[in-house]
Amino acid sequence: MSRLTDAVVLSQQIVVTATEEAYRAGHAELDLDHLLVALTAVGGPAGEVLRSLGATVDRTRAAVAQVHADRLARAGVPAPAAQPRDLPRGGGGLPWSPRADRVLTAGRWEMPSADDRPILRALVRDPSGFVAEALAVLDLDPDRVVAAADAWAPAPTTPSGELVSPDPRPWRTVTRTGWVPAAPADVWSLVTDPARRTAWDPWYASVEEREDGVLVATLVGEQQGAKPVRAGFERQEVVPVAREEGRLVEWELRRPDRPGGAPVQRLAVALTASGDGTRVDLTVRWLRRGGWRAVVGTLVRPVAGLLWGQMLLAKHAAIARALR
Amino acid sequence: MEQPEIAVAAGDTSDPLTGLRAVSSLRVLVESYELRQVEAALRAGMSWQEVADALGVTRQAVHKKYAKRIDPTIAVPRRNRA
Repeated sequence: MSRLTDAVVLSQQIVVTATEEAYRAGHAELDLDHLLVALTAVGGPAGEVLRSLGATVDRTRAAVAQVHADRLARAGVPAPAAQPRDLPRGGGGLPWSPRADRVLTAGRWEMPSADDRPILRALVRDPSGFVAEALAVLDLDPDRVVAAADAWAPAPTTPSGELVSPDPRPWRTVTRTGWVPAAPADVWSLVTDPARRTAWDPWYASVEEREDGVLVATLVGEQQGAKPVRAGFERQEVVPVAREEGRLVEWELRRPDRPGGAPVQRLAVALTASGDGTRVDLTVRWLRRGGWRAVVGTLVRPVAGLLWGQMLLAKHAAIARALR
Repeated sequence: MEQPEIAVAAGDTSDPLTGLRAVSSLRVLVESYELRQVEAALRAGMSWQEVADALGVTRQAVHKKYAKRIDPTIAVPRRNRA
């Protein structure tokens, strides 16, 4: 992916994550506290800086709640018990506060590269003092955070091995890489558990495991408030084709109601420990078909690549959401 | 804490910075309560008009503020029921 695409993906992840934080906390708008938590939860440079200083997702989330509670307590108002809201399927929408808008815009001007440190610097400098108070709860000095952000250098994680299982056929491949704030073992148990499949695979409304280990999935359709699914596409069989315990799992996706006509398609998830989280490489690959479909396939290839990329990013976002 | 005591403490103006920051957190709290109550009202079958009347604002105001913030799974009537 290009640097510009990386930058767009990162800023999208920050906004989506912050919105979810605000939604879950029951707040009515996206504000600085949610942006701070979001930075620790996505795989950008600012998150690496914050987590290296001990500001993990959980600790930062607790710290911002603490600031609200302390502020109320100092004014003599007892803090109410937290009443988290459940995140609806597909996420909820919330407007941004004007200052959150300013902080995000400050970050965007310096972005042709995937670097969210400008957002962190703008947060630390915020004149309302909220972020500084949250950092104080975390035992962090704002200047130290800025110094650590300035000193940050990229240390990319190389994948733990092949991203797909060996197969010599001429596959077309699209891969998207992301980071989630959870240990590889936790990501592994999420993605390999049929009962939790719908929590991270936004395509599926229900998944059941057959006795032979094949997963029978029903696609999200009208019943879930989505667009109707074309006849013959409602059901999918998810057949395990490769499994390296704890590292790589790959499935072949089949359409049992479309005998013969369906293309061969696979989805692979490869995990690599990265910092205090996991690098997740998602790969979709398919075989070209002959006849008129090959011509159409060649014509739509650039668009298809983008769409597959978006689909993989949606799956990655759902994996991260399920583990935050 | 007794109710009158809260009012006295939150309205204490001897330390304005603490007071202002408390008010900003109070606002977040009040807004989250309002959102929660609007959702509960719509879930209970109240119309936007009834919600607006209870809050003392216009139906347009309450709809503009909350139509996109509420849980999208709540089935809200598109038209104000008579």
